[in-house]
Amino acid sequence: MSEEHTKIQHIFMKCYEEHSDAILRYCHFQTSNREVALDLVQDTFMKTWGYLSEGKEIDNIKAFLYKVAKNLIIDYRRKKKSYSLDAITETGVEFSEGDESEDATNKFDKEFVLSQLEKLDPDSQEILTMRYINEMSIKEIAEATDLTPNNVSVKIHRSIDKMKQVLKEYYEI
Amino acid sequence: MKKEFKNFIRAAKKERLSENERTVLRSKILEFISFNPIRGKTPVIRERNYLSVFEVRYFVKAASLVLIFAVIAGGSGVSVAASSALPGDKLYSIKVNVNEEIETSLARSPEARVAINSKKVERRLVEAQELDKDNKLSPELQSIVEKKIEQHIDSLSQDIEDLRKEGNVELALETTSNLTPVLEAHKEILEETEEGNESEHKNTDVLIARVEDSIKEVEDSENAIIAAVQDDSEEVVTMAMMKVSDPVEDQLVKQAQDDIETLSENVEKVVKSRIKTAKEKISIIKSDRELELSIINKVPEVTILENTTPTETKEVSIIPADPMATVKEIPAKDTIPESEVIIETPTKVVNPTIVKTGEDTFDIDKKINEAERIIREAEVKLENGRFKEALSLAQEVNRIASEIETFKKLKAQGLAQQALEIQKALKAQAYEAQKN
Repeated sequence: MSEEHTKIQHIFMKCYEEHSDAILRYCHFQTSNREVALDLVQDTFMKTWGYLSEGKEIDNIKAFLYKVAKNLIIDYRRKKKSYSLDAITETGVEFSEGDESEDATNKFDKEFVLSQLEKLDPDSQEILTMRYINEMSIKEIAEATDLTPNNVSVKIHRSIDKMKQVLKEYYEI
Repeated sequence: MKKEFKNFIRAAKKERLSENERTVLRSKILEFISFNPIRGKTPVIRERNYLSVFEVRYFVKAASLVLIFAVIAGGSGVSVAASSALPGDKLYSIKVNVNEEIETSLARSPEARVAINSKKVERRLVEAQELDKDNKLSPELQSIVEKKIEQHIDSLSQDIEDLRKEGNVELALETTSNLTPVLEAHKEILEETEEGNESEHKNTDVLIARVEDSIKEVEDSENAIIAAVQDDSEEVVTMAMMKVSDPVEDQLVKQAQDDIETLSENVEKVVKSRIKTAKEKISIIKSDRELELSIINKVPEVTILENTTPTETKEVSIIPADPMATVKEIPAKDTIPESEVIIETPTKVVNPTIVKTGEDTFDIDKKINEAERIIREAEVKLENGRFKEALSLAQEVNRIASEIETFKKLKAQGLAQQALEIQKALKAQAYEAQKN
């Protein structure tokens, strides 16, 4: 293995350590399925490496990872039915592996977040996850979603309003 | 709702890979990488979050800017509030010790320092006026302001001296010529408020004296500059007269002559404007005086109280020993020099509000004449290039003008006092008459 390969691999793995949690959140809140999200995270990094291995250039790795994840989520939604059926046959229950180590409050939080996020349209879900849960800058979101920063700002604003409405309803019940 | 949203976000952030998941995923990816080595040229990954050394430099710059803005924004609340603080306010020490110190420390060149120190002097005077207006200028506060003015003027003189040493005579003169009228204007305002102030809060005396001293100090520095310029020019002239044969020295003399010429032009400008101001002052005083005299001419027919009680002569004794108080002025035909004002043994009490007295010791007209003579002399000196003398003559005129102004004010005050006493006397007289 060449020295350069090692160097690139090292940088890439550093990106993995840094962004895997964020990509997982993004995928999880977009698909509402943690197992699927885990798979999508794996696929995201593999696809990205595949792209790099061809000697290509990535200008902003964070935005690139989100882009790949987003495309994978879209693919997943297309074949959701069969995919989720497979998942259920294979694993039986959601949150199986990872959640065993988690405490009850954590689990509750996650379910709560998911249940609330699900009430929003996919666009708002995506933008809120990126902006507030994964703390991306508006510019980064713009790069990851192919929108203009201005557009992103407007979307964030609208999504917050929607989310607040959802939460208000939740707390009032 | 903000809180719920925050809680929601906090809960959402708890979602992360477990250690187990992370390890499994990492090994899967590494395995994938080993099966898919880099083909062809080396790929490039750029992570905008990682800062290169190059970017770090910008980052440091940006961070320092952010810090400065943060300090300004964070501190600005206090410092803006402080900027309008007056002596005695809690924030005043922030204003003079923080805000203004920062300002001074930012000023590196003597030019900038001169500008700032001039501004400070003005600020102190405005503060004093503000306090005085509301009758809040206690002796303590006055001494704070006074000390500050003294400090500022001291550093200003130093700055002016630095400028002169640097050869920046032009700016030095500009500073002095800008500052003097400002100081004089403030002095006048302070004097006016003091005059108009009927209460016992007459605390501006010391301050006025301080401002006068400052004016004198500024004038002294001005004189020093002009004297230096004149000395230089004389030296150059002497050198030229000696007709040095050395071409290099010849060149130097020429150069010096040119420099002196430009300097002299500037000096001339300053002296000229000083003479002009002095002239204007005197002409205002003169026209005031003429107006005053013309009123005096008309006064008696209208204002002498013909219907005063017959016992009035007795009342003279109530009026203070000053004969001026009961003077009756007899109108002269055309002009009345002071000497022609006839002071009579009072037979009638004059309406106190229009008492006009002759000046026994201080002769305004004489002073005006003297000032006019000095101005003419100064103009001649200016024409002959004797700037230093011309300037000191102009300053002399200014002094005379202030003297006249001060005298007029004092006289007005004295007259008002006398008028009050005469009124009292009249009342008492009327009361007596009624009783009888």
